[in-house]
Amino acid sequence: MSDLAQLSQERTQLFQDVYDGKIPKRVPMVNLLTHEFCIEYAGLDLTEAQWQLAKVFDEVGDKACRDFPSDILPLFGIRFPSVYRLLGARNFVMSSTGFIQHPEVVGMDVEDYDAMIASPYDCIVERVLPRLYTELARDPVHKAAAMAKAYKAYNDEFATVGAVYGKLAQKYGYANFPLFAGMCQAPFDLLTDQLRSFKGILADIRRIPEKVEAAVEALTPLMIKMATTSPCGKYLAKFIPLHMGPYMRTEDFEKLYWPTLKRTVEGIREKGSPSFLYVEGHMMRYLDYLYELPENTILWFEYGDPKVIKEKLGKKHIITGLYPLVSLKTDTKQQCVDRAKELIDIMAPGGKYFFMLDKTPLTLDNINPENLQAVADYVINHTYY
Amino acid sequence: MITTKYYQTWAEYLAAHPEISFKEEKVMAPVMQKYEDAFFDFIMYLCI
Repeated sequence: MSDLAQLSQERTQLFQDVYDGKIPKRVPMVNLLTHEFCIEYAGLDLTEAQWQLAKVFDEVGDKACRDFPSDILPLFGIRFPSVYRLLGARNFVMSSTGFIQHPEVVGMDVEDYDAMIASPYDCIVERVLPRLYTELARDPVHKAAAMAKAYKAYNDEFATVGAVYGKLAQKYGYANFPLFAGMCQAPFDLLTDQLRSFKGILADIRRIPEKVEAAVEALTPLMIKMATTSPCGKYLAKFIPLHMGPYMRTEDFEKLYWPTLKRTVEGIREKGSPSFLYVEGHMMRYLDYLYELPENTILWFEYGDPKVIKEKLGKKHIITGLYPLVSLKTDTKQQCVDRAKELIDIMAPGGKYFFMLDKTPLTLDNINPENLQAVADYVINHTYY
Repeated sequence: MITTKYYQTWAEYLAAHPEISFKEEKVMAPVMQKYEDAFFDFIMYLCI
């Protein structure tokens, strides 16, 4: 067996052990870098590069993989300007600096609740998408053409980055282990983000809570299906970023957000996969709810008290995150490494832990790259059990 | 199970197309269902 194949196997075993509830040889290191970050790191123009991924992504990905140690492929991106431009997107728009931004849009009017409750997929196709994407509001021929072009672009772009991912995974001996093998949203977040909007849903909770409840119930089978059309298995976790919890009153969270999120995670587990939740924002008041989720749910925390999280959730679930990205910008190299050591000393005992930042760096100026390199080196070389 | 005009399981498609032979069905089913699911994935991607 080649050295790289051996390395890949060892790294794969680290993650399998964590997911199986066994103590791994050492703490696995997960770096996760967005395409935008990697493009900036490679010194390329963000606008141009995103329109020329077939030409530049090999170089972009390779530089990031070469310089940022990780046990798993560290690249991540799902938004491509070609798809959004072909559809006339109002919800994802490239700024003058090249970042794809998400203006607050309302894809679903309050009058659409009954249609959403009766058939969410029909409502999305007939009413929501034409509001979000101007080309889908045109006559049938233009609409069909726009959809065909965008679908081709979507497949081409994912194929381009996918081919590079595969090549780099082999070149750098990464774990044969996907961090995310599919995704969906919490039904309440789907109803909020691009459908009713942040402002809209907060008004709906007050005025028509029974319709909000019925809508999220109706959306739940859609979310389970979305996560599980891709292959399922005990090492094929489905990513669910959580958004609205921190902004809700606990009683609203308990009635309108939590039940369908829990059912979504359980539905995904019934198909054979764990869920990988990004617990974004301040969610410490919901730890008891998170405990209820199926065993070995992966919980990536942005904020929180590591000791409390480990104590309350760490025996049942797999915990990651909590290392502040901002530290990589503001602290010295040694301070960054010391902070990593301190966090690992709390989180690693007993296993069910891998190292990850609290959030992904979106732009190059989010961090001092040398600090991230130092922290990654520390995790990989100094965290043997 | 989702209730919609815009997504068909293979069983629903087959029920609407009795002309499909058993020989065709064996090879057609996974391909047709794959594209149905792939388009569903794309539609949901546009919502997230």
